[in-house]
Amino acid sequence: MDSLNLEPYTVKLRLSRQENGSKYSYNKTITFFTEHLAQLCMLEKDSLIGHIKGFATDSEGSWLRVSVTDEKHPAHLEGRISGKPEYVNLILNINVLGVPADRIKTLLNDLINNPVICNSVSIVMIPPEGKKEFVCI
Amino acid sequence: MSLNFFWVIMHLLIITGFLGSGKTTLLLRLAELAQKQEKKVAILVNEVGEIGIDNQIMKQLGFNVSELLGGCICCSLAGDVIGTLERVQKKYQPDFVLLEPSGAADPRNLMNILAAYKGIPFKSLIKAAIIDSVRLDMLMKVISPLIITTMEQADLILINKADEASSKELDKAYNIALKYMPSNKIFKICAHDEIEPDIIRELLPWIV
Repeated sequence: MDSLNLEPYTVKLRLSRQENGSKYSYNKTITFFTEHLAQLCMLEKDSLIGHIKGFATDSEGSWLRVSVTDEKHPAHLEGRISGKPEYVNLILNINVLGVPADRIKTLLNDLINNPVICNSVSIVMIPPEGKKEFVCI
Repeated sequence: MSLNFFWVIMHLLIITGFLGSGKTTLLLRLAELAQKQEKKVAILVNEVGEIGIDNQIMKQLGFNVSELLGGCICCSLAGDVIGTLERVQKKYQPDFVLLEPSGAADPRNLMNILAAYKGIPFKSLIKAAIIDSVRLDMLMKVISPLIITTMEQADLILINKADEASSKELDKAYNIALKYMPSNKIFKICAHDEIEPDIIRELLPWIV
């Protein structure tokens, strides 16, 4: 495999419960979403996950950190979104070698619009979303 | 005079390692430990993302954190690291500074940058490389120059995720590390769990 470029992609997401979402869990949705994103990234040709990490907070002060380093292992979790907030903000730092930031954005949009992933919690990107051209490795 | 005396006893620990190897998790364990011993801890964290995540967690946990975001301190943010270190000294007068470069940083470049540091000398400077035993074999196939440099530049190597890796993966990681470090400076850890006292003494030799 040739050397791989790293284009870190940072995005802010807002998760809110759907009106018909009687059984919803922000913790489960964030974990599932992040693990699924890792799987999609690894389906890209010549890709390598550096680190996909997220930090979710609610207005009550609870937080959840999620970390994924490969598609085969479950996400590491720290903290927890407690209670039933109307919405949760999630920052995702996506560091995947070999996958351009534009492509990562497309994969994210596909996930956000996937009803299986977001059946009880809706997810929207909130500006400003970050894209930085960056090559270090 | 008395203020300078306090500055002189500042220690610096640099935790290097590839993205996702467990730097932040280890850093938090060590910061908690130092804080329990009533040491003043300052953290410098560098993330390649434009919005920091690790710094927010550290702040939630009550640590003094300075962040260097949107690039890497070994290259695009090289100019910022010395100034930030000096500001941290003046603002917090910490006993102990923990520096976490980004997971894409080349430790050799970082050490060249730190060589230009003209502030008050550190009482000790330890460089710990943390490697991901689960992914090391694969990473060595793809980005071996960075992984090798990280191990070569370190004072000790921590083989992380010992709880997740198979014994085969652990043995392989240990044998790779052995090429760059004597055996008495290689340790297997689970950064999510408590770190053994022997390893703490290597990382924080000044701690009681």
